Amino acid sequence: MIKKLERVQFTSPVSGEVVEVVRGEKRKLIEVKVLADKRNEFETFKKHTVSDIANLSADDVKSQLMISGVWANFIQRPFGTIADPAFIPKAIHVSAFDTSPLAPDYSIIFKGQDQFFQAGIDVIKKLTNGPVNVNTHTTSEISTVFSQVKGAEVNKFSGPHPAGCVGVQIHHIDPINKGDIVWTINPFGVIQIGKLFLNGVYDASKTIAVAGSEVKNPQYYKTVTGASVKKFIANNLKSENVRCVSGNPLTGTNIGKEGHLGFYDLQLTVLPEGNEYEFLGWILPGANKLSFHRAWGLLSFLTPRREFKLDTNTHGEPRAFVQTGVFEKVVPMDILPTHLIKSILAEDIDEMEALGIYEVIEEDVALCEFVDVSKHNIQGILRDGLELIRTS
Amino acid sequence: MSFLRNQLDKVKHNFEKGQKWEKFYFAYEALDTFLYAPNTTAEIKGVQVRDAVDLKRLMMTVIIAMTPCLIFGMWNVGHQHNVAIGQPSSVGEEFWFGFLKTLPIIIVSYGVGLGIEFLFSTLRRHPVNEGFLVTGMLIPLVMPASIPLWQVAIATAFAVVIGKEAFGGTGMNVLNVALTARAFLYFAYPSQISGEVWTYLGEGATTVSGYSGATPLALAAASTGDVVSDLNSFGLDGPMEFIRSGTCS
Repeated sequence: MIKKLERVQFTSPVSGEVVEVVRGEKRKLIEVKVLADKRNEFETFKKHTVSDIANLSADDVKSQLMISGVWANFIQRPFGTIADPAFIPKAIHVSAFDTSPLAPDYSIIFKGQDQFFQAGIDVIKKLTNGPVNVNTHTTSEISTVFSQVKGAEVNKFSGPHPAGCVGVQIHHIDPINKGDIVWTINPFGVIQIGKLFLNGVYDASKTIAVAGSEVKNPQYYKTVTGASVKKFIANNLKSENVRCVSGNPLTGTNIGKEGHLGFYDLQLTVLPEGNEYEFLGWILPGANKLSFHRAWGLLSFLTPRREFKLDTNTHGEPRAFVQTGVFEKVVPMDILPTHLIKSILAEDIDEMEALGIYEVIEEDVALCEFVDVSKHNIQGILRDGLELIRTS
Repeated sequence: MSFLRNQLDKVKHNFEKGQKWEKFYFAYEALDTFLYAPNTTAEIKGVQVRDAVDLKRLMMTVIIAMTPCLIFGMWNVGHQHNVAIGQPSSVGEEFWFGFLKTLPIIIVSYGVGLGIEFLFSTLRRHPVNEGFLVTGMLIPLVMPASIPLWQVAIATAFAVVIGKEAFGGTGMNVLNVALTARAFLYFAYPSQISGEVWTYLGEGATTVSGYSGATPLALAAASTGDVVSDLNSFGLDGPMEFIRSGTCS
């Protein structure tokens, strides 16, 4: 099933010169560093008016999406890989809110982008025979970007994280069965596609949130995809022993103080690095320890509204996989995550399929990894299972 | 406390890969993580923050939940003993009697079990799992107070090796370890774990005439002659009083 998507191009977010190419094992491409010039010139693509877009064919749309570099915004389920343009998805899903910790407010970072979002929806509608679902939250204020959209089905969800995970939303709208293919795209991708068709440029500019307990001034910044984090943290840190995470604290990547923002990330989180021992840390009670469990000495359940300052310490060491029944409480889907993870450890593909592996990717089980008493890398295990099926 | 940490750090490198005590790494790790929650941080990708709970704390919670059971059990051992020999005494004395009777069983269960855990962690190179802290207390809870200690030791060893380690250790076992110990004794040494073993009498002690170890129904079932007269000769007052006082067989 592994295919190289040769027609899909990846575009530099800025104009300039390539200064470094970082490769990993087996010459795997990891990073291409570009030094931006001052002018920031754009390669121009074909411009369209709103009425033009309505007349475009699916093939025209696809070729422009692929050659311009915006295609990578489409994520395919199952497997959570960049979508294969050879398929026609059953539906396309857009999660229009982010419930993860310290997440940016979409009504702020996408403010005033109404026409681009609408154009983007008009474009991606051509790629599927099914609906385009725009999923919003019931309680938070919904930006007009999403509430006024035409040509898409607007669904409403309620509740805390992981309500914002698009996998959870798909599960409740129209679950993925074996053989189904659906695509997901975040609102930033939709807007980028809208800009491509209306303005004729690959526009990598985005608004991101710089957040976390170690940031002096948490705020939104206008920047571009792949920007270096150096300027965001310069003179803006409360301490030096910190970790810079591209993305949110549940699914993000530690990119270091000189790293670059991820393609899909709209958030830079700076957390205190917890590389310290704690004397009798496994048994001493404390009100400052955040836990989902009601185990001995963990008192955070008494103060459900309190904000905690979390560091990156694992608070324990890896242990055997034991069944606690807690995974099921943090995955609001009709699947059994404990059994799914066990079947992946046993490399039992039939069992993985029966337990719904096609419905989930890493972000959907991130909370399982957070609450795991045995400190396993649950997201990594799930990825191994998905790759096992994908490559078999 | 940094003195202790320094001492641990000083010897730690000896247990790492390629060093002289490499085999004992997990034994060292068990001690180190008992004294100090480790300084490990989240991996590069995935969750960057973790819940404050760990397996040790979870198991400790179970142990705390079992403690009332254990305390009641200790008192009950003393109480049943006193009822049986017809020698009333205070709650405190009854508890102390039961405590002294039960403690050796707990020590043997933990000692043998943890010994085997450490042995296997060295042989099989897996972490010492805290699950045995719970199992080690469950075993005394499912044994009669009159059980010989050597049987506790054998049963615990059998349960940990066959019930757990043979399947790959904690989390992979298909049998409940504590119940495996009990089942082992039930089949290997039935006379010490069935019948009138649940009340500890003591060497040479005689019971009061109204004493019953099993329930009247069990007595009736064991009766060879006339059931009613057997029960009467035993003294109906005794069993009834016994039941009212809260028998636990």
